[in-house]
Amino acid sequence: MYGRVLGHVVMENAYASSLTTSTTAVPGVVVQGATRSKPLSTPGGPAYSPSDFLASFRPGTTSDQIRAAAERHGYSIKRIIEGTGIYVIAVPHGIDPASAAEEFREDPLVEHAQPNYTARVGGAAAPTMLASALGTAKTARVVPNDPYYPRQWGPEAMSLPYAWEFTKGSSSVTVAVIDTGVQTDHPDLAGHITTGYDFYNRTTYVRDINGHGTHVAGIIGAVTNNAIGIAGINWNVRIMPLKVTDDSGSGYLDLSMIIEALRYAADHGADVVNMSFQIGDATTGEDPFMDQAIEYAYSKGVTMVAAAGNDGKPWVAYPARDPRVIAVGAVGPDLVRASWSNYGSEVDVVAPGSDILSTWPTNSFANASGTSMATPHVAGLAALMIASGVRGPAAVAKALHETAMDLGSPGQDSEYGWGLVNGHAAVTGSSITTMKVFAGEDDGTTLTYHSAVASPAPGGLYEVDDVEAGSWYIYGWIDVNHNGMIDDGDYYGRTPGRITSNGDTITGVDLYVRINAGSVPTAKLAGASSPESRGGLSRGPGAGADVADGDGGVRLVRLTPKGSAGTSSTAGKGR
Amino acid sequence: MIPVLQTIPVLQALRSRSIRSITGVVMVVLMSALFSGCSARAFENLKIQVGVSDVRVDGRALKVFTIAALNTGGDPVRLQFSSGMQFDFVVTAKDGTEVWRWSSGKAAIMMLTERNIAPGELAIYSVVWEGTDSTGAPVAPGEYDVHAEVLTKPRLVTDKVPFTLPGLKP
Repeated sequence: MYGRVLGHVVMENAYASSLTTSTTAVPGVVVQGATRSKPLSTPGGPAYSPSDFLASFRPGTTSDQIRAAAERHGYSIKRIIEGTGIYVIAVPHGIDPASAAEEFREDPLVEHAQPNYTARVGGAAAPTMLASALGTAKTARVVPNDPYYPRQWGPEAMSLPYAWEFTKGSSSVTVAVIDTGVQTDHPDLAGHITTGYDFYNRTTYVRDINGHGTHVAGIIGAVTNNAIGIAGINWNVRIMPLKVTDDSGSGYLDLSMIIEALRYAADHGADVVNMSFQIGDATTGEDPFMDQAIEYAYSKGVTMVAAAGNDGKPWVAYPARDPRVIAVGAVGPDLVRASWSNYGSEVDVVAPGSDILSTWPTNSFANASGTSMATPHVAGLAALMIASGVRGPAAVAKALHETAMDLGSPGQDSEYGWGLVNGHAAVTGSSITTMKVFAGEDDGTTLTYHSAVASPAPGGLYEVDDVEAGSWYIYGWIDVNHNGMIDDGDYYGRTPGRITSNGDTITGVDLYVRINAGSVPTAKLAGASSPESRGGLSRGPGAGADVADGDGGVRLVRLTPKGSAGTSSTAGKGR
Repeated sequence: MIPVLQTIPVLQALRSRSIRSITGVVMVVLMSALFSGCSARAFENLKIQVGVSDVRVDGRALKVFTIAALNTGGDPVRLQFSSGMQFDFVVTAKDGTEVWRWSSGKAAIMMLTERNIAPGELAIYSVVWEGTDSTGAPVAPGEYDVHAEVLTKPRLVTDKVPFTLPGLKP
């Protein structure tokens, strides 16, 4: 008699863990399906696909060159993993893909090649990877030597020391800062500034009388690990300062100049545009020319990020509330929404926004607060993600949503959107939908599962079916390095206690999954056997359809997050 | 359609002025201006008034609106703002219809800011109105009111001050 377990899983980051409880270790667990009484798939089958391998190529390599390189080695391109820059390369029958990948790695155009690992749990296909995530497990914290870094809580709250192990950004990624200008010769910024424009004085010589734009720029990409000042989110990046105000030093920006600057950014190679400002208020601000400029930039693949507003009110500022723009709310060091941070269904994510230390004119550093400060944390992360191979504003937004650490009500909510952005998960493509959730038990070295393997919906709701009778833990796991092992660098969590399955449905089993950096945490078990304990947990119309995994009997069930009106992945602004 | 910041050098400097003491230029503006009282209760010792003055530059007749905030108390007054937008000016028709708002066509940086006004300090902020509405179209000559707002929580609003727009002459 098989039962079901339902609950909500949260990808908690190390910073949040440090705010709560300590953890215990379950290192190096091998996942097996040995005692399945009901076939899931073939446990212990091939650890990687027998017919293809994965490869990424050096920046600037054209698709023609990639095709030619594959053919030169006797392979062909099967497909490109959407939004990643990773190619699936088919090998002829009889060739071992692992040795093929090894050989292919020698090609000068190839950045990395590896077998297309399949996770052993349930034999499910390996989740989509990002280029920078390929390779062996790495969880060493990368901590820059900037002397003020210990005073910056933002990068820690976003798990950036783990992300920097995978990417430190790229000087081929440009972030435009539409703002009060930037002190372009600030000693902690100068190396990262590309040519910008002053739309008031009509010159490429940009300065910043106010200070706000300089502060925003430093968050995105202060020169990092240079033993000066602060760390930026990007160690490598180009910041394009676009000044859209007069020289009075006031905190007002000019709308017509903003519109001009947004088009300028799109025309001059900006990948990301930071808009730490608000036009109008709860009901005003929409402007047809701004709308056209947003559409222009969006159609050119520019990721736009804007501030939710600072009135502490239940409305989201314009242009943040535009569906094509990523709206950012602010949290403080306690990861609670700042009292002044606006909220509403259009909020995409939250980011560190209060007491943020960054660069300030002249040659100085200052603390500031506001959704203005939260916005560049997300714009900076978007740049890191683009450097990791994520392509296009829709893909960036989706990845930000599905890698965020859920805060507030389970799933997406108006106060925190999809949650606090998670740098490590975002650059490794560790979307919550790639997580495997199952019931089972472990002896410290071997984990045996006793249920089907489920994947959570984007908001973190999961449903594990076919739970065998018995007492089990519930596990959540993202195999970040795709080696079939729960080990360093993976997301992993286990309920601290066991649930007892006797064929019934058990709800409200919440699970916290954290990055495993040598000390795997156990997780909290919140509630059990109470059908309504989660309140809004339900299958929405049109959702809940079972999706058969291509590789056997694993059923992945998607649930509808509370309040998302029927679609499982497009709550909020409907992207 | 959208009003662009003006480039009249003298007035630009004046508009952007945010000073801690009365300078000669601003004194002239103040002396020719009308003032009225403030409706703020939360900041009892802060007296806020708005004034209107006429300035002719290069044949153009312009209105200069000035907000003056005087701390009459013995302690500093701390004004906290939810953005970089600290003041606003609003012109209304006699029937109360809003004709022009200085912040229209402007965006506010989303950084919390504050401003301390010391005991006895008079803080001044002036802006220019060219006699156009928020879309940039000329406003008909006639009688209007202006008031200023200090964008704290709660928002401080001055009383309305009447003035006449004589019409722009070449």
